[in-house]
Amino acid sequence: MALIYDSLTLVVVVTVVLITLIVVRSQVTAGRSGKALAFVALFVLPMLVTSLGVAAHLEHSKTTEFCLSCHVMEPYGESLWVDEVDYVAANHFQNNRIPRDRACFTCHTTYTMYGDLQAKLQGLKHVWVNYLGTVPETLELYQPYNNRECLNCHRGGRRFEEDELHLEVRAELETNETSCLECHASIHDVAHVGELAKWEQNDAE
Amino acid sequence: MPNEPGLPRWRSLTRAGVLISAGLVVQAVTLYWSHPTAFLVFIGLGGSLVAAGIVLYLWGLLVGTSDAAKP
Repeated sequence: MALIYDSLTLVVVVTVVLITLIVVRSQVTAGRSGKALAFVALFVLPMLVTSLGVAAHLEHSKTTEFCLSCHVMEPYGESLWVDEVDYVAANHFQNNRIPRDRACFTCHTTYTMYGDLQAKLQGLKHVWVNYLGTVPETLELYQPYNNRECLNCHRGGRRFEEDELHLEVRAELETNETSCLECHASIHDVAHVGELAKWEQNDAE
Repeated sequence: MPNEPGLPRWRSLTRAGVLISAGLVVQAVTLYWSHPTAFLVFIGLGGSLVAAGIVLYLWGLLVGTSDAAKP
């Protein structure tokens, strides 16, 4: 991402230099090539930077760092380090079952055609509530957690598919008649996260 | 400053250049700010400035062209 940001910044610098040249020395634009240069500097490059910038922002909004930059999300970030194997979010995060730099997005996007877009629109709503509304004391999902998000990765996995308990409810898991969270109930547990022991990663490992 | 025939007027070119430059600088700064507000500033402030500048530039092109076409 840093390379993309640096590249975009370089394009911005080049564009601003070109615009300054065109404004200070307007006679440069007298010829056909000068007009083309003005069109590139005042239309093409700004449009390019804006389009790529939107894409870069949207991509960055998938990062764990981005999600946890809001104060209200801090306990959820803390829950990723809980030293308990039964804690689903922590287990997935600590064992690299989800990309650590996209931990929140991986489980909280919907794996549908417009899942990303929907997640972004909800994100804008969250920003609105954060600044202009009242943040509820207990954050809740808009809808019950859909098994689809779990099965997106676990479906077809040997350990998952051959597990006897899973086999008993396998069809029901597909239709959400039985929720994965009925058994795997410890997710973030933010109410108690402060009291729980945390895993301290040894970077030398 | 001269107003070249067939070109947008220098004043609107200057204004467009200042608006676009300011917008691009705002957009570049927000890229290094990791917070949801950064996207809003990118679109709301940076995007608006760039859009206003582009519209002004295109308007200047149209006006400049029509002025030049007059006998």
